[in-house]
Amino acid sequence: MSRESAVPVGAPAGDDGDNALVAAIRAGERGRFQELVARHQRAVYRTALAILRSPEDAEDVTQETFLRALEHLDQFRGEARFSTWLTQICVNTSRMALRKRHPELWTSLDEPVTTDDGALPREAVEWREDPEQAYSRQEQEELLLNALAGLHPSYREVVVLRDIRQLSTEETAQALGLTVANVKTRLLRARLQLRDRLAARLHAAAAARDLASSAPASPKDDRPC
Amino acid sequence: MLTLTCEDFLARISEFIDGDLDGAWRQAVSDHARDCPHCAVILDTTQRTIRLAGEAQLFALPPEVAERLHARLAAVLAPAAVEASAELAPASLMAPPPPPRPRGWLEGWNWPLAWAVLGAVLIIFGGVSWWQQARIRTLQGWLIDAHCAARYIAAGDMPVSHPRWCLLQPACVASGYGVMTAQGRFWPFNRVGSIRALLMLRASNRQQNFRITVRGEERGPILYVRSLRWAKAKGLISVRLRAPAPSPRLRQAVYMTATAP
Ligand SMILES: [Zn+2]
Repeated sequence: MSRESAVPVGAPAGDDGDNALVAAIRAGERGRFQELVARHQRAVYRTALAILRSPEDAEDVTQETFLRALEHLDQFRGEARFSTWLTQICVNTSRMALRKRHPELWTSLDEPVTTDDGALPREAVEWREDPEQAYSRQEQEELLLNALAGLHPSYREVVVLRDIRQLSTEETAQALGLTVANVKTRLLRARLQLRDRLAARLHAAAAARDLASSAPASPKDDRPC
Repeated sequence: MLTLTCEDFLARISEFIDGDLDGAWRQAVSDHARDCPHCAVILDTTQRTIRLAGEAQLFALPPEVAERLHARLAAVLAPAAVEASAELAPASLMAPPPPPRPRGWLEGWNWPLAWAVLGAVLIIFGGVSWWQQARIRTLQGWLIDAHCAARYIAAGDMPVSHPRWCLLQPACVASGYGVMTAQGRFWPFNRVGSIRALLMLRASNRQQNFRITVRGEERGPILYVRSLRWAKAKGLISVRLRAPAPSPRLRQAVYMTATAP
């Protein structure tokens, strides 16, 4: 499985020139900020959309993330990769957007609800079809976004950074301010819950498809069962 | 040699997939997946979940979103904006401090009108929610497809012995599901409700007497399902109606006579 980076924490080498660009912008070439944005806009939008589900919210958060990054660019110390720093801002901005939408869900960000049902999958439903083959890109996206939306936000963030953004465990830990062990524990539960929810949704989608594709009642079928 | 329980297996599945397990554990996990069909399915579908999540083509940034992003940043970054604010700064230092903006906004506030508007909004909101609440129904009856319900209504009969295999006939599935109450009224479900009913039917091993309790919102002839479950009471007794019925026992007796074979 390819990962975005295997660079250990604290080694800003392999930043693909981000740090040089940041230095140039700080030195006065403000216009070059757009170059920096162009490098990271896809990753930021992807993160925001997967956490928030709504494309409108994701767009707002993407803009907000870059505006904040611009405002606080002089606080970027280069200890972490620029992309990790940006991810950190994006996750925080997404959290704030989520809190605004659903304050009731946010009693605590760090404590996943205690009644978590996802440690052990209840049933092993074999997928009748491979979603990657049976569904269009848009349908896959919808399935995944809906399944993600059912996870507790703290699980969602971990799985979004690790499996959707494909950051390393270390980078995920750094962006979320967690320990690596903590990330691994949450990741296990998050992945199993996501699998569970996706299985349920694939099941429902297959049933809906049956419902749609079943022959409409014709006079010939109008015999008593 | 390590032998794992299913729970041990699941506890390590994530690290196994990431390649973070060392020799003995790694071997034990793959041995368990080989010997336990249940866990083999979980492993396979979890791997496929992760693969789907990492699919690079998903959640692509739409070009128009990128355009708006760059336009907004361009407005912030524009030298004109920087100069303009730089020019304004000294002038505003010389001038007396302007009143804070929120206050000016509140000064023009027509308080009686504001209260009137607030009152109207509350009344409308209350009315709407009361009206919605009034349309929420809890119904008990038999789960039946629209296709077959028509026949029972025509015959004045109840679908008590309607068989499972018929409920799952393609024509019956395609017609959608609904609930038939003891009064002989059929309430068709909305589409999502029909899908839930189909899933529930599939998951159950009942063969007939598909008694359900359903809660939903009445919109025209359709019942928009909010919750759906199998009725707890067995048999025909305890048909609970929303409005208190004058004599349920009598009605039951009449009803049971009417539906006796
Ligand atoms: Zn097992």
